[in-house]
Parts: sequence; C-alpha cells; structure tokens
Amino acid sequence: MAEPLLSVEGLTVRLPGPNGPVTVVDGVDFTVDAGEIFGVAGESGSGKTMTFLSLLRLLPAGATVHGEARFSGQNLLTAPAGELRRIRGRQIAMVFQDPMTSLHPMLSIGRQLTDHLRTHLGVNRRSARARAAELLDEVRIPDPSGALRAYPHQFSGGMRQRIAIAVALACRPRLIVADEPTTALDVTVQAGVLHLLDRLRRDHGVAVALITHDLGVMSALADRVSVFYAGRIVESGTRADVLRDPGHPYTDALIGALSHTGALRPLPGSAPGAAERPGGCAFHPRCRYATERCAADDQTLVPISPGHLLACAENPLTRPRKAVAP
Amino acid sequence: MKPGIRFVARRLAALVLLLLGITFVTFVLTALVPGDPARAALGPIQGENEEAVRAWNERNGLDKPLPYRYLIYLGNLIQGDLGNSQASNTPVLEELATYIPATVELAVSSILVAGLAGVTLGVFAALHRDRLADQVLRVVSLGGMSMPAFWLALISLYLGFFLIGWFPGGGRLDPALNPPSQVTGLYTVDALLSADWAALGSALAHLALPTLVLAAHTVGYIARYTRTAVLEVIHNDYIRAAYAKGLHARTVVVGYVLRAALPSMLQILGFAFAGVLTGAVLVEKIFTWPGIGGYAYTSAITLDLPSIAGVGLFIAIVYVVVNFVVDVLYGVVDPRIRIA
Repeated sequence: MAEPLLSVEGLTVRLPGPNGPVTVVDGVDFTVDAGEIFGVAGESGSGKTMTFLSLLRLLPAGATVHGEARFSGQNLLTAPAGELRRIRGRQIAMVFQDPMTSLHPMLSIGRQLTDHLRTHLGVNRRSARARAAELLDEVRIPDPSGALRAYPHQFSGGMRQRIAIAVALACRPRLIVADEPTTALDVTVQAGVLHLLDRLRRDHGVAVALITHDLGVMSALADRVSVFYAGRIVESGTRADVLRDPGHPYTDALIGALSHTGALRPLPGSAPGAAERPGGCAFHPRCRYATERCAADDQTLVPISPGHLLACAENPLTRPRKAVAP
Repeated sequence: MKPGIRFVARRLAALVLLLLGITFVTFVLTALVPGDPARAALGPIQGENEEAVRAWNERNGLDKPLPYRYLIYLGNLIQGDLGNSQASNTPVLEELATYIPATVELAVSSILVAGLAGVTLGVFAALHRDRLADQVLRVVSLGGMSMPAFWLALISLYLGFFLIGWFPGGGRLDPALNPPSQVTGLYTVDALLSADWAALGSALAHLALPTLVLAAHTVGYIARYTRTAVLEVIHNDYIRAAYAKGLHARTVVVGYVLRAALPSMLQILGFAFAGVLTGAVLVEKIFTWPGIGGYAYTSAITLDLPSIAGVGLFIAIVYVVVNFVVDVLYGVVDPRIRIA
C-alpha cells in the first residue's frame, strides 16, 4: 500500500489547567490515506477535536504537543511557522462545527472565499472571484455571484456550512478536517451536507477526516473508523469491522445508544474529563464487562484481525455473540 | 442601498430634534446663571447707573420675558445668527469661525496620534495578554490617563521649549510668517494646498507639543478599550478559522480580529474625538492656542451670554454630530445593522 497521506504517531496534547497541565490526547496513532473518509468517533471531550487542532497547531496558547505527525513528507509539529502556514488551507483545510460562528459576520462571502486563494495561489482579484463563484456553484449555493456580495447572516445554517465547505475546498486541499460538520444543523439539511462531502471525495479525491459523535453519520460515509475515549483510541478498523462487528464494549455501547431497533440502551455515567481519567482502561467504571484486570492494566491497541485494532483486556465481544448477551 | 438611505434619514431627523432640545437647555441654563450681564459688560462704575443698565438691557433684548427671548433666539438661529458678542460686538458666528479651525486642527492631529498609538498598543497588549508587555502597557496607559493634561502641558512646554528648545513656545505659527491663504482654516492643510513649505514646517512644529499632550491623555483610554474589544472577539471560531485558512498572521489580526472589534471601538474613538474637540480649554490656554477653549474661557469670565450660548451650541453640535457619524459608521462597518 502506498504511503499514507497523514500519519500520526504517539500524539500527546496537554492543555494548561487550573491544577497544572491536563493531558487531553494521550499517545494517539492513526493514519489517513489519500482520498478516504476517515471517521473519528467519540463523545464530547474525548480529544477528537484537540487531536486535529494540534496537527495544524491551532491550539490555545500554553498547549504542549508531543509525538510525530507526517503529512506527505513534512512533519507538521516541527515545521517552521511559514511552512505550516502554507500547509494550512492549502493542503489541509478545516470545516468547523458551528457555521454560525465559523464565518466572519462582517466580511462578505466573496472576501472570505478569496483571501486565502489569493494568498496561497497568488491569483488576482478577478480570477479569484470567478473561482469563488465556481466553488459556490459546486456546493449548490443558488445565485453564486450574488452570494459573493452577501454576508453570512443572510444565509441559513445549512447554506453557511456549505459555504464553509466551499472555503475549505477553495485551494483544492488534499485533506479536509470536518469537525462535527452537521451537529449544529437541522436533521433535514444534515444529509445534504454529508452528501456534499462524499461527492467532493469522489470528484476530487480529497481525503476527509470526519469528526463526529454521530455513528449514523459515520456508518453512512466513513471508510475507516477510529473510536476515541478519554484521549485515546480504543478501537479502529474499517467501517464494517468497527460498526457491524464492534470489539470494544464502548463502541458497542455507542452503537446500542444509537440503535433504532429495539429498546434504547443508554450508557450509564458520563465520559471522564481529561483531569479525572481513571487508571487502567479508562472505560472500566462504565463497562458492564469490566474485571479487575481492566482497572489495573493500561490497554494498548492490538490487532484482532487484519486492520482491526482493539484496546480491551477482556475482549468480551469477539466471542460468539450469544454467549455474552445478558 | 435604499435601506441605507432610510437609516441615515431616520438618524438625521432624530438629530434635528435633539439639537432643538439642546438649544433650549443651553438657552435656559445661560439665562439662569447667576450674575448680571449688563453690570459685567458696563463695568463697575457705569454698572451702578440704573439708567445705563436699563438701556443696555433694552438694547440687548434682556428686558423681554424669557420664552419670548427664546423664540427670538431660535428665529435668529435658523438664519445663522447667533447674536453679537456683548464684549466685542461682533457676530458670535464670525468669532466662532475664527477659533474653530484652530481647535479642529489640534483635535484632528491629536486623535490621529492617539488613535494610531492607542489601537496599536491595545492590539499588542491583547495579543500578549497577561505577559510582561501587557502589564507594562497597563501601567503606562493608567499613567497617561491619570496625569492631568494641564500639568503635562506645563511640563512638556518647560522641557520642549525652555530647556531643550526644540519646540516653539506656543501659538499656531511663527509670528514672522504669514498664515497660508485660507481655504480650510487648518494651517497645515492650507500650507500644503498653497505649497507654502515654511508655513507647513512651522505649523507642524507648533502642533507637535499640544498634540502630544492631548494624545497622551487619550491614548490610554483608546488602548484599554481596544484591548478589551480585541479580547472579546479573538477567541471566536472565525478567527481560528482564519488562521486555519493559512492567512498571514498580520492579515488575520488586521483583517479579521480588528475588523470584528471595530464596532465596539467606534464608540470610544468618537467620544475621544469629541473630548479633544471640546475639552482642551486648559491645554489651549497653556499653549496660547487660539482655539475654542480659550474663547469659552474668556466668554465665561466676562459673562458674555451670546458667546457662551454659541460655545455651548458648538459643543452640543460636536457631540451630536460625532454620535450621528458613529451611528452611521456602525451601519457601514457591520452589515447586520445595515439590514435591520
């Protein structure tokens, strides 16, 4: 297999907290291949967003990042600021969660679509605007040239997210990081935005890192999925591996909580904050299969089948299903 | 553009009503001030002469009832007649016209200096929040704000003129020079327009110290306000998104951060400008700057009612107009207001 587009190893992120630094991402490894949709699942606060913000060095002041992150030959974490700036937006673009806040309220859509085009590609004003109109057309915004003169508040949430995607797409990046791109949107417009991301991947071969806590979104789009819990990846593999045949009780619980058939199974308790991460497997206090081993030993990801990695001591789910059903 | 015009028209209508109210208040206040203008004008000896006082009051319309006087005042005002100064007997409007340009020139130059320095320092402090630079700037701006302007004026004149001798001692222009031919009344602009380089240099040299003194007082306010305004917007998603687009840090700070902070800075910039236009009485006096501040001072001690009312009206107009301009600029700066 060819070299992955992005490969992250041992990524650790610490943020300053009131009682000293807090580890929010703890030794995470993953890869994203060119042109794939890589799903990143997990509850809020599990470190998904911090992981990707740290790759573009967009973390709040005082954060420290360790590990390695290679993006097509460059080390993102040690690249000089100027080089990193040329990667941001040009090679790796971001779509943020809330389209109500991720567009500047006082700048025209045209300005926000063209300023990085001009910075990165050095095109003049006229051709940048022509390109911006094409982009708006591509994300299905009606009347693109009128939209260029308009301001964000004149658009609905779904339209704004399409515009934000157009902004991300402008310089034809090789990776788009979409952080909960549909969470702030009405259910009816979510599908449209997801379909758009999928189409862009197919038409332009752009890889998408799709961060979401919504496994429904994941199962519709992702090629591969990694599940985050309390700053670590607890399971990763292909969509079929992880979502249809989950190995980790946490993944299973997430799927159960989502399940549209049968009774809803809420997951007891809530995800631990970064500061109060329990020892051993961080999930053990909420896990119905937990044993003493789970509280004692740190778990590392190990392959259970080719490409399917799991960090679980007991492995209750890889045994035949009927045996574990209560 | 139509809603924009309606927006401006509505604000203008409100402005006219506001000015009417202000004329009423200034008129009543000047009439209520204790003291007898006739005696002040006639001097101690003639002032004892009842006949002379009555004649003076009759000549100046002060024997009529107050509401009637107000209507006369308003009627004259509409025709641009602010009355004659009781001290010099020249029209107040004419006198104001000779003093206002000097004040405007000083105010504009000091707001330019204070605005540039204040915004720059404020942004810098916000970007270096709670670090050394921020702390130092906080102390310095507090110092600037708490230093009385008249004291700063005296000290700077003592140092700059008397001790070092780099700056002229007062006034607007070297007495050996002729003022440049009047177009705007601002010596620097007029000198530029008539390519009179000697006058330009002298006008700038005379402007320097009073400008700095007035600016020093204002720059602290502007810096603090800017810092707060920048800190309010800097953690927004759209700022992070701008960095994520790979824009230069300078573009993000000026084009995105400052742009977002601008609406909340307009108010303080407007008030700072109104402040230096109307509040420079002592600084103008110390630098013998022939501006409106000195005129206000003289009319107040001679109880020259039409002049006092004229100055009051000027100050009111300054605040009303500055507020109006700020309101309109809000609409220009923030597209969300334009539509509403």
